[in-house]
Amino acid sequence: MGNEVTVRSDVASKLRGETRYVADIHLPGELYGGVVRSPHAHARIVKVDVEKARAIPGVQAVLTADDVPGGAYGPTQFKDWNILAKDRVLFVGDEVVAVAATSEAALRAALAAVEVTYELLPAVLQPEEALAPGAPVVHDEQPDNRPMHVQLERGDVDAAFAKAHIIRGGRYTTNRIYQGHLEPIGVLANWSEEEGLTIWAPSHIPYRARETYAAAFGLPEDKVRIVVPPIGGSFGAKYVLKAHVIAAALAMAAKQPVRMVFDRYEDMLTAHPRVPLTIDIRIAADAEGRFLGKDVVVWGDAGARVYWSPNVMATACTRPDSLYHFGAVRAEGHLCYTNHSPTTCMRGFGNAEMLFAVESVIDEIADGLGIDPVEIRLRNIVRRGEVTIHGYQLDSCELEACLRQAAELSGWARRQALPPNRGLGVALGNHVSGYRGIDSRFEGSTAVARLRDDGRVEIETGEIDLGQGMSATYAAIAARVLEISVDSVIVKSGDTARYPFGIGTLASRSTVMGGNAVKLAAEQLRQQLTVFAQGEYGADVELIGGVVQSGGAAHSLAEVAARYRSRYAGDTLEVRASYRPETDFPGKDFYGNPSPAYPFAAHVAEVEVDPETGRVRVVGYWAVHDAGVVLNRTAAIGQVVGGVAQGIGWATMEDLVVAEGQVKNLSLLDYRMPGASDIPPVSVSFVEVPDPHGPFGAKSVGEVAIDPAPAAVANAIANAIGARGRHLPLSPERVWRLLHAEEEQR
Amino acid sequence: MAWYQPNRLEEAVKQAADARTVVVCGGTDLFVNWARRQGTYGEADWMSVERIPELQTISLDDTTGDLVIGAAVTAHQIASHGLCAAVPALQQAARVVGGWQIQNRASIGGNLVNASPAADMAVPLVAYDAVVALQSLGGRRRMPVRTFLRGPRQTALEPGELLTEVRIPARVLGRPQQFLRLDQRGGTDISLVSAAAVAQVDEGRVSFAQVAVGAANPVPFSLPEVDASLQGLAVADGAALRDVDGVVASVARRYAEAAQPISDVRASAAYRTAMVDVLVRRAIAGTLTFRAIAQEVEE
Amino acid sequence: MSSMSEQNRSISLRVNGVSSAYEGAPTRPLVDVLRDVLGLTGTKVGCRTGECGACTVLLDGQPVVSCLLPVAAAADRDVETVEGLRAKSHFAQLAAAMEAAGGSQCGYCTPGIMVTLSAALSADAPPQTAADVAGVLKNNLCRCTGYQSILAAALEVVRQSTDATAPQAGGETEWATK
Repeated sequence: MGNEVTVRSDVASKLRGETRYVADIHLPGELYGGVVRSPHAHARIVKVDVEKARAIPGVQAVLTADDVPGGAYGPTQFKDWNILAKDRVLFVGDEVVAVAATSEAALRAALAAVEVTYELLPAVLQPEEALAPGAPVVHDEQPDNRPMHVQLERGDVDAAFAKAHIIRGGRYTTNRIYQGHLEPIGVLANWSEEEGLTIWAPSHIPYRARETYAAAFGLPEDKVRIVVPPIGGSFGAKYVLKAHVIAAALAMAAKQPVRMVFDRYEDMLTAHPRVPLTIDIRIAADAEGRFLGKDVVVWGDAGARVYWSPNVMATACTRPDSLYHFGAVRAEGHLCYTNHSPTTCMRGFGNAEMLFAVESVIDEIADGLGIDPVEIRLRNIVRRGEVTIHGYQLDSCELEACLRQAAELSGWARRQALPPNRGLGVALGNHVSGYRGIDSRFEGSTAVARLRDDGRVEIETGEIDLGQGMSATYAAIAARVLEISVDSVIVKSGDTARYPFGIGTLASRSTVMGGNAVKLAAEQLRQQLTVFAQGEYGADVELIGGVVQSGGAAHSLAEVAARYRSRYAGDTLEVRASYRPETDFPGKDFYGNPSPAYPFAAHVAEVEVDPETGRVRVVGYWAVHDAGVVLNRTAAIGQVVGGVAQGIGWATMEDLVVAEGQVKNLSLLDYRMPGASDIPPVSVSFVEVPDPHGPFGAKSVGEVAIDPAPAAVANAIANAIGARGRHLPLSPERVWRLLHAEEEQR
Repeated sequence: MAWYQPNRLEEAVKQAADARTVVVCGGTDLFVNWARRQGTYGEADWMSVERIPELQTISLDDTTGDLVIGAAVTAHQIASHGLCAAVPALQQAARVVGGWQIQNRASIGGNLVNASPAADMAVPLVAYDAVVALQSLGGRRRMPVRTFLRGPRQTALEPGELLTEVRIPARVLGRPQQFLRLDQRGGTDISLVSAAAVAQVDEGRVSFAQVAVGAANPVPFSLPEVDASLQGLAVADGAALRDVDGVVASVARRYAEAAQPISDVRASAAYRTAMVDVLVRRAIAGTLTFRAIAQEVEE
Repeated sequence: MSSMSEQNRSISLRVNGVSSAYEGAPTRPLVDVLRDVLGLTGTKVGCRTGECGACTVLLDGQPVVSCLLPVAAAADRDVETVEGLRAKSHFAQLAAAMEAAGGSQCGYCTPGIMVTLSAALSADAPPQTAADVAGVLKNNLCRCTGYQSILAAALEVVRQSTDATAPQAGGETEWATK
């Protein structure tokens, strides 16, 4: 591929153990921070006694709600966060008292010495119960426990169902998935009167973190600096976190740096997992398998505070409608407060959850009509040039090609003659490349391009690399624009005091948003460099192979850089460019074109089920993606395989099990993520057609990689055992119960 | 707090007599989540027994022919040692104790002394009728593994006693046998249910068979009177197994009936009970079709 | 003769060939001594329960999880961390294969996987198939890659070593290929 570049990256230092994550960074005089947490799902705080804790030698700060600002704040428009709990605790793990001490031993002693007296209150633990009259109220400001209520209808859904030849549906539930980042949550905070707060926090949306934390303390934003060390995995877990706020509060109180690094237990206890959804779904179709209507009611468990659950709910209620032609669509979404730890997003962001239900029901319609699952999808998918029912403008879409290729590569025709207990399942997925609804004020990205002294080009971005290869992709884009070696490009990001503003790495934004900004900045740098060189060397200058050619003479970029500095008082040649996509903010009606480019995927999973134990093994997997033009093939394949692996874990083994508000499996032994033996060989292919809006035709791939995966696995299991699992995960016991017709009637 | 690292068994036995001494070998159980659990040990003294030569050996007893495995022998050593090829079911269990890193540390003695209901290596040892040796200043006593294990985290170990060796009787060495474990992923996992079987087949007939089930009761259990019903079964070759299906199924069913598993975050009691049936049936069937391979080991 | 170390009697460590004396609680997990006392932060803490393998080091050449290893158990033994292993030429070969295959994304599990694979590829019977490599990595979790690229990298090293040794018997390689 002519447009591919091999890119160097930070991988070498990761392999050599040289990368310093937040837990590897120390400041002189740092204190150990920790939190006394609620053991109850819902309780009134009767008394907090910290005197014994304060008396322990080495304890430098003990904070209660009375010692910190009490105003409500939050990272979204729902302002329901505090710094420490004052009157009530709302979930197991809710923060009551914060301590900083000179040693871990003193910290542990102090945490144990804090005495909190609680009066237990009835807890509400299920979204549907939260909506019932008389349910315990989680936040007095929201007496109905429903911070978000989606109501949406396009077309006449009742009429569509009235004329249907076939209707299938049911209740589907998705599980409480822990993001499973290998690096536990950690933070290092420092305060000085002159500079304000500096927080070393692995956040991939550091500017939103800055805004949120400034609001928490009533500080101007320029008094809060977020420095982002390399992030040891997030998948949605490390956006904006109370741990960062509490470490900052301790640093301000103790006037010393405070480090707070969770162990796995605390990380899991305080985890903000995927929003578990309960989905009542019906899809209507005609006799030829053409969809006529889709009707969903969704209940989402937000937990006791709002993180990104509203975005997840909105995505679940709408996104699959831009994958298939459903005819008329109706969605009602109830996002409910409960006395669980707040839930949030994970890769896939509500779409993968809803696709599990949608793709399952589509297979049931196909079964009911005797139509092949691939064929029924071909009859209903969206195609290039269409504007979808919610206004998505599909200027590129190779979904049909993906589906046909996935069927061919997987040997889909075998499905008719598989051995017993084997199954093949297909599922599709779509996503966005940046989503206008993430921030109501603006969308886009800004990059700085600078010609360094040494002739290399430095790119600054506000987006954050999570190991997905973003920096390498940006380097490739800049190198291609400037026609220089990719090794001559350095990409920097991760410090709100130094680098341009960025909305951050979420909603599959980085390739298209940041990538377009980098492309614009590189183009402008090239243009300004050419203008300057023309003034220096003559009108005939050309930038070729990293060298300025003029009149038969070659001038290195280092020489041009030196000349520029000599003319401009030592300054360097630098440009700043913003990419602003032409997208629509999805308002209350969720209508509009929210993203410049939509990626698509078709996945086929093959499973083998042990009918006596219910144990499922995924034995084959084929993923065909429309990610536009692939700029960094190794990274793109890595995103797809990684997404598929997470999808396999999600569908077959992972679940944070809660009972009475307590998570019961707080370890990586009992929260099972897939090991190397659980992932089959994954065949990854791309159908590469340029998207007109992506940088060099590229679209996103990170989230669409997981979107179809749980559904593909679930469909394969249904094909293998002849029974439909509607509740994730399809653990051995669940599958065994399905086989023994004992699936609970819900 | 002190850390004792004796090099001789008699020193270890002497130190063990001090009631404050906590005995540790590989530490893969005791040191889980250490920062959170260290308080429970207070100012205990520690004695590591992993470097005591007498506890590190794998040998055949010259007189009895028993296989004697020192308490400090690791799961990895069991899985790879030539003499242990005669106990393939124990090797199968050793290979699922965590992953490579855990297997390099976890010892057979520790697996028994910790007395987890889900301990893997304990299950074939119960099926084998293996015997442990316990040593203290007062002397040495022996006891079958099945009575040594008394309940979750409970054993017959008296204060001051060290488990020094596990003795596997000669009559099961090289015999057809199998260990099966039901887990839920390919990473390190814990057993939902496990089963082991060992049998001897003479001239096409089962002359003895013993089964054990793990993770279904507070301790691994065997039903000798049920196992006895397998005796005399004709299993001339693998194909004839169909004829004994009924007997095997009945044995498996009776094990399931005797199981009293718990419901927990990993699985329900009903599922575990059903899986006892499946695993026992498969372990026996696997054992009875395992003869050819086992005989090669014997030669 | 018994060797007994009282508390605050020093424990002699040999990490990456360098001897040092540790003074402190003998039960302290080795990983904390490596990271907080010796400054060897290449060894990562992921779970402290022995499941994730991010803290894998070699103890007398065999991989162990250093979160479950009391420092006293490492006394007078050879401990090798990623910092020691990376100086060896076979490590560079594996690192190159990992980078080419995309075997590291966020990188947090990576040092532990490099240590485990280094041990496996230098063993008498190195893994030959993807299933073999997956078995070796049972005690190492990775949430980013889905493992495929890691398995491919390990097998690429095996292939290179086989190619290097197969044609002429004199072909020297640090990886055993039996």
